[in-house]
Amino acid sequence: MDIELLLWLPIILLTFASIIKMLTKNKDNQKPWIRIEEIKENE
Amino acid sequence: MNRHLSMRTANPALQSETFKKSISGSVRSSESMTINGVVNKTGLSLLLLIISASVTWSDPTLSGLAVLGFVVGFVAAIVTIFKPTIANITVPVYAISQGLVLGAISRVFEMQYPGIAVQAIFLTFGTLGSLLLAYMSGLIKATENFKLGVFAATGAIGVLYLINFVMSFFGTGIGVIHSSSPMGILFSLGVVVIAALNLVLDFDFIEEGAEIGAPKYMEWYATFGLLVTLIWLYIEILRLLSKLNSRR
Repeated sequence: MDIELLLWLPIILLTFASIIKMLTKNKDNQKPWIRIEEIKENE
Repeated sequence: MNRHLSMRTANPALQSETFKKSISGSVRSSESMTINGVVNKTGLSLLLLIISASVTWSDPTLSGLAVLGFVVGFVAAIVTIFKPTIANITVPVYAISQGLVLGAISRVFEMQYPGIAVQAIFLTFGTLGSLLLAYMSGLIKATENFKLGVFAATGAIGVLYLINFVMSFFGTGIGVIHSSSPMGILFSLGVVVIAALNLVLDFDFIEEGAEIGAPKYMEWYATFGLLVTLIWLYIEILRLLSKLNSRR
């Protein structure tokens, strides 16, 4: 195995970690895609 | 604003007072610096660099241009640092002249170890992409301690290189810098990591500039900072790969 290929390892790991972080970031605080609101009469 | 780079960057081009000077100076632009503007100017500068690099890369008889490129690049860098208002002229000149130098250097390495230049280019842009993603995702944050650490490490490398440069006049040098021993490879790997982390400081500088509404010409200045780091990173990766190849 080429030892140079090992240099890609941190780059790939960092990329994956960033993507995971982006996907999981503020998931609880995100607004739902659909929001159903109750409409009161005469509003 | 305090969470930004503000006043600690290892990159000599991106010094602490840069934004303050540009905002309080007499020359004010009508438009403000934007991240998009920096991205466009960086793309254009890299294109100029690649085109000029292809000149000295493809024709070895033109390698003398590399010396000219080195001198012109050095002058352009100094002028950019001291007069950022004309960075829109000096930065493209810097990119073209550094391209001439990098093309010639890459050719020398390529003749010794075929395929090394392409590997170094991909690794440089791979590092840039992954660190940009890490910065955008918040995985890597430019905290004060982070900035201090990168600043100190870059300074230490700078001092070491300077000592090595002075020692070279006496026919000697710091062995670990050029050695292909495990220690030499470890040293090069460390320098590559520090050079890569400087990119995070550059991203922070750009973000801060856009946030505080720095003048438009600072887009070119920020591009210059990014170019300096990328060129350093590329050369260090090239050096590391050559050390690894020489052990085969």
